[in-house]
Amino acid sequence: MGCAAGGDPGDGGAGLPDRGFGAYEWVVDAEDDPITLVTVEGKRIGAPMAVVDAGRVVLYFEICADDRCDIGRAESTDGITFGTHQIVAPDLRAPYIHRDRGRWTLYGAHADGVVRLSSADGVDFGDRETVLPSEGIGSPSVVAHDGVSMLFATRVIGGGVELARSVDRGDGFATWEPVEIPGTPDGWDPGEVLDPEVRAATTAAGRAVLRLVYGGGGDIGFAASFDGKAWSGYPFNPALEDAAGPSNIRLGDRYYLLYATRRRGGLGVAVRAVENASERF
Amino acid sequence: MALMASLGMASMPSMASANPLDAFGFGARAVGMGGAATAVSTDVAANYYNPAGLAAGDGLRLDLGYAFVRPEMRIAGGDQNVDDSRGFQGGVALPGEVLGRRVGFSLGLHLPDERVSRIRALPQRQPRWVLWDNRPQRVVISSSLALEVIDGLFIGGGLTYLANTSGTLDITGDVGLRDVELTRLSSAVDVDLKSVRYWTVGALYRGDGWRIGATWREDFSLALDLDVRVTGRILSRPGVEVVPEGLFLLRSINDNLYSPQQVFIGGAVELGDWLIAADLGWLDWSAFPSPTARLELELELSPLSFELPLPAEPLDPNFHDIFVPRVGVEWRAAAGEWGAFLLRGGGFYEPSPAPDQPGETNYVDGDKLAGALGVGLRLADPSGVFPQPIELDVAAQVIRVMARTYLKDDPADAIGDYTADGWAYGITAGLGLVF
Repeated sequence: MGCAAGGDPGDGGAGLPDRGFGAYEWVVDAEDDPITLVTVEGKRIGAPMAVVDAGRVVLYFEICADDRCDIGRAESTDGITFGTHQIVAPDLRAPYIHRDRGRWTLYGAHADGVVRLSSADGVDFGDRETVLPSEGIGSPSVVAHDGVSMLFATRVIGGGVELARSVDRGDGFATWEPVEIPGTPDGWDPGEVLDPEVRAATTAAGRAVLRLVYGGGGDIGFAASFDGKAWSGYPFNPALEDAAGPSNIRLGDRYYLLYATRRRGGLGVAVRAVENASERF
Repeated sequence: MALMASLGMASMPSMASANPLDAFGFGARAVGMGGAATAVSTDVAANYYNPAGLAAGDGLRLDLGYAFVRPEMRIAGGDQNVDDSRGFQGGVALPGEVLGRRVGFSLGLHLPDERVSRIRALPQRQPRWVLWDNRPQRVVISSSLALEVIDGLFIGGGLTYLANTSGTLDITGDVGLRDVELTRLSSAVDVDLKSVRYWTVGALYRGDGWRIGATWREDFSLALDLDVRVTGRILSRPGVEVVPEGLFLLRSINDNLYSPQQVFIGGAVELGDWLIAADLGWLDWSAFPSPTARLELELELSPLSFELPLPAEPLDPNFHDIFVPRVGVEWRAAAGEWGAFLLRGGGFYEPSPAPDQPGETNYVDGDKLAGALGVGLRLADPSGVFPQPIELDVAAQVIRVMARTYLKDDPADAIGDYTADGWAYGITAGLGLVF
């Protein structure tokens, strides 16, 4: 897979800052197929959500059979080879992990709305509660930004799916507003935002920014915002083709894009190895 | 696109001016005084600082030296591996008298030992230390002429010759649409090195224990224009023309190595064993053209219809003019029949001419604060071969490029926000022989 032009340094560009927005390279196996990280016999796996904790990659994902999904968890030291998984939250899908002062908060989508659980170690989750009782909500992301909590999720509106935002200003996630993600100048515009993952990040100059990685049209793209309301699409999208359900992490000078494989029904990973990974998240 | 070329230089006499001397100075004595040498230099360094000083020299002299500067320039903490600037510095100066008036002539040279010159055109989106990339990488061959017009008043000037490069790659022939065996192409290369000239003129007035001077340097831009022209037929089968007269033309126009017009005024006073000098310079950076190559494309494949996307025009870099103060001092710490020992110090402040970069461009630069120290030895030659003391000078300078933060308007900008800063460490040494 070739690299996008923008942001890639080329000659004379050693050590340039790299936000991890550019094109990712497939990690391939011996048959030159994108590598599959995790599969579970007889189950569908998807919606990966990875976090880096103490130098290891902790991966949460949904394991589905029939109409039921559970949340599984696995760990890796290199972001590519994962150990045995375990179920950490039953009857939930589309996991999103938020960590704050040693507490792990797991958000997930349920038929009744968005559910929240908490844990001290990221393994044993309890205190299950529904924070947003609304049908048709999927792929929640919860970030703290500018002193408020923001919930991003997809919601079904009029037979379609749109990305929406709800801001908790002390009264919970009460109201929604749609979020528009513009396409790229060269015409990449999937028209829909699927499986969004929003993370709070810090630029190389120390400014807070929100990163969005999302699926659409069978590809994966990036967008970013300073306020969570006005978003700008990365001009050289897509970052990865033929993949869905993305999750983006940084491990040292490597950015990883974990995704749901479309051909094998498991989880895969693509990597962007750079000299100067400058975005902190 | 990245383009780098090493260009051959015609070794004709020209005027020492501009970079890398703008950036790091010329000669150990001047460098040790922070570059405040407009009213001070009478040796070969006067080719750059003020050619009028060449008529005020003491005698025929030969200067030999070496300058080395190592930049450590960072963007977002990542070292950009900006190349060292290093090379021979020296020349000859011949003061004398004609019709009762002092005159001076000099040849000066800064010869990098890595590159004669470099032009590298990067996409405007790609961050680069715009004034440190190509600028210190060039040869300077100088000649200057100076004369005393009235008692104490000297004027001087000269020209610099360098080579613009323009070239064309012509490819002609037939192209097989489906059958590669039908393709027959021949190529020809035509490259010109055309001379480009610029002026430097200066004036110097020496009073009793004081002196003032002024220097004007013309702006200078080294261009690299490359054309690729493909003409010919496109054939579907032998003898069957799909396109009888096809044309594809790509022109790359590049004004890359630029030095602005500049005016320096300087003064110096002698107070016993002390010489105190100060300069103030104006640099016309607002005329700085985009260092990004402009591309022109033309495609003619009649009767077929194709349209090429128009390349984006490089954005105006919007640099602004700057004023650069320089100060320097020289102290004769010891003197005797054996010669003299001199201590020097100085510095300068050069604000960055580059604006913030909130959009697509990433022309990185920061304010520069420099400090320098130097020593000089004047050793009498007991053998009498050299009637004047042998001069040994060494100077060290440190340039701090102040940290600067760049914030982008677009949160999804490919480069994003970053902070840039740097240091440059240099040492210059010279040997002066006066006959």
